[in-house]
Amino acid sequence: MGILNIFGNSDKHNQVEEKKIEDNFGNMVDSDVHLVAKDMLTEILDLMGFFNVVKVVKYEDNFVSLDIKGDDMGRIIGKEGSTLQSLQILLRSILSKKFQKPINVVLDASGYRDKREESLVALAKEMAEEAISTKEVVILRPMNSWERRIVHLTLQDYTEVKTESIGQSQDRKVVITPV
Amino acid sequence: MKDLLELLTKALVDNPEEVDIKETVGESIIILEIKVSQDDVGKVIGKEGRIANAIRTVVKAAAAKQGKKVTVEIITK
Repeated sequence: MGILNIFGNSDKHNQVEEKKIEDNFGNMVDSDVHLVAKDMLTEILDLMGFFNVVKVVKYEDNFVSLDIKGDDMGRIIGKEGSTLQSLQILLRSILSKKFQKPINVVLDASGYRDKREESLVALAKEMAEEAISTKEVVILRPMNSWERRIVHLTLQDYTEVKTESIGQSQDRKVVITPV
Repeated sequence: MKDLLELLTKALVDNPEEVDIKETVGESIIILEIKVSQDDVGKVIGKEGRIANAIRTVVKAAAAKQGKKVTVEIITK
């Protein structure tokens, strides 16, 4: 735990411990969702063998956004963000169960999402231009909801194309159609 | 690897006391079997397998750091 101490993390761990309150069913009744989220993610990363620092970026009643910093970022993010996305899915599920209400969790790793958003915006524009110039439908690779949303938002002001999502679950992708 | 899977599974289910994880470690591959209560199978699999896939991805990332491959099986009690 020496590594964590350098960042003063152990003190924060203690704070979280103190604020955890459970009802008779062992469910969390506390409103400090962000502290429990941070604590849980730190524990998961520790057990994965990644000794990273988790920072709470923003939080509201049913929402928390966390950022991971440290080594092994490539592994934590995974191919096309798959590991980061999986951690986010698990944390949402775990916290929603603990607090017995839907809790939205957004995870970032060293600004990965900003960089990813930039490249998705660039891709969306490029593919829209291609659809316009070739007058042909462009189908993008399967993307998760966050990625598809960025594509749709980027192209909503493009009057020469329309976008829609097709396919089911893991195979869902954006189609850009020239109009 | 077993501790990681145990933490995740117990946090996802309604009956954590019934979670049983078996780990078989080979030279290059780790086999993990999760046993949960019948009532909790849906919780660890999720809609269209989303949770099970997320568990596998996270465990694989951890195993890859140790240079190992891992498979995760979900078994009903």
